[in-house]
Amino acid sequence: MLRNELRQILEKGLHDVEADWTVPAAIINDPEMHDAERERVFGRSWVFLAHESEIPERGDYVVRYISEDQFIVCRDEDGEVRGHLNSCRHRGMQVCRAEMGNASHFRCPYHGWTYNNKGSLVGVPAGREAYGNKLDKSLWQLKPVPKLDTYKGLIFGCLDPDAQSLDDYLGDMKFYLDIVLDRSDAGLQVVGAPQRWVVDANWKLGADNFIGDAYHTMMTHRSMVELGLAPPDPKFALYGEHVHTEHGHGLGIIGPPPGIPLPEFLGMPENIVEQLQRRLSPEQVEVFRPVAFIHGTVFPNLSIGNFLMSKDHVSPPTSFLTLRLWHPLGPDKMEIMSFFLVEKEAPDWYKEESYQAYVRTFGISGAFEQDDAENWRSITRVLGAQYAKKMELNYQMGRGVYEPDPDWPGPGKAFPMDYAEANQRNFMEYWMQLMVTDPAPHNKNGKVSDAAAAEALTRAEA
Amino acid sequence: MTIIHNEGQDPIIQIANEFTVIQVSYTSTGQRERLLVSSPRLGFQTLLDPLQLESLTWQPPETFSKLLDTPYGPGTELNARPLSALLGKD
Ligand code: FES
Ligand SMILES: [Fe+2]
Repeated sequence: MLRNELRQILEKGLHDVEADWTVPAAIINDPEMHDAERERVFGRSWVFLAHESEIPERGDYVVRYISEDQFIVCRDEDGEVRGHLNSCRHRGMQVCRAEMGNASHFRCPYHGWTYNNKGSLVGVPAGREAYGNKLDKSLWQLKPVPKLDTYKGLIFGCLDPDAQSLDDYLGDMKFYLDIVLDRSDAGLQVVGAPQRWVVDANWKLGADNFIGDAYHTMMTHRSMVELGLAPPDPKFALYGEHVHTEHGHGLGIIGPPPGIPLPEFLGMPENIVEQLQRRLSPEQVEVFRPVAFIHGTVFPNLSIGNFLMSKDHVSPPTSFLTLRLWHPLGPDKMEIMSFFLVEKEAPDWYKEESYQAYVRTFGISGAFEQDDAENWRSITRVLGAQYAKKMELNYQMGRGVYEPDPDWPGPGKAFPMDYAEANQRNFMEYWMQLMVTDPAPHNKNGKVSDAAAAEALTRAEA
Repeated sequence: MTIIHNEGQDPIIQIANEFTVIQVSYTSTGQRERLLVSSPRLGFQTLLDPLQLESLTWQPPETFSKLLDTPYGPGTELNARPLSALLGKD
């Protein structure tokens, strides 16, 4: 149950985000909000777990998280992708303590119960002496992720067994995801393991920044312009389109600043450009052709950055693709996982240049990344305090300035130019709707009834 | 994978994951050629000849799951008796 005070803040917030375009500061750093969020947001959303290329071979696995629950995401001996709760059915011990590896079987370090990578319990030490061989192993397999599905190589999991399909959840966002994920025949590969680091900041600040905050680049990343690593016009991130779709997703698509010639299609290698023109729809090609930066968030915590940047002040800009996961560790702490991806069929010189451009800008010690994290830490610290929590935050950018763009060829609600906060409002509104929607009642079997779940969803989307 | 070289002996290949470590080496005595597979942690070892190795190549994953029914080795037929049975007998 939501405490009354929280409910009031959220209900007022839902009203205000529509009427005044403001958002309550209390949603950022409050332990009770965070507790409710784990169940109400992360308990019902499709959360990114891994990219299929991270587990290419049978037996490959990574350990990934939905809020605090951890899952072994693996490719079983038949080649199928699976997700098992990383918790032994005997006493709940972590079955797998390495974050990645290859194993046909997982053996619990506590008493040795052993599972195959389909999740079945296959071995119990001293089974005869301790259980008289009467333990029915088929009843004690590792708990699967309630829902697991993939979209163009991205593996998602959802804790709500009655949730809508991943396909419906992604909805119109797929048009834009395809531009990034589906532009080559052989697809993408994640290079190396993701870089990971812990920041004393609320995860929503990362999601908010990537979904629509082109505006901060002018100030926060000004030094990049001064160093010649970003275009010379400090307003370079303005010249784009600001688009959001249902279920809280959104992105910004930025083209070249006026008078600055940039290569088409992010300057991607010729063979990839040839493939994408064939694979994508004419509308998608049209949207992608003039792009210099794509920044977006798939609700709740997966962000995308596809940027054209220079690795230093003398090199020509090269594009790179990063996915990042803002994994919540508490109201004031997150772990960032940053993935670098590249088209499998891109030439080696491009893969190398692209990787270097990523590492120096948005890698763990990249200049952009460090600029951002410092702001998010500070906001989180400030908004954790009593008086500050009572503030409203201003989400009014673009109000009375821009009307939805009737000429935009893609789906979703688009606004001309990228200095706007429609995507962030859409994200926060959906987040608050999930927060005020009580979990569907459980029937006698302890399972959420379909009707109740559907009703909750309609309420959330109303 | 690690290759362990001991002077005068054939090298030992060691592979490991989070769950265990296993060593494989080649042994021959005159006519006999075998692979020695050993588990340094559990203390078991087996010598596999070409036919035995060949038979492994068509085993489905379930065979290995069955082999792991007793994950710490086969155990022996214990004549298990409680401590109470020993009490008061000196
Ligand atoms: S907790 Fe895993 S075997 Fe006991
Ligand atoms: Fe930034």
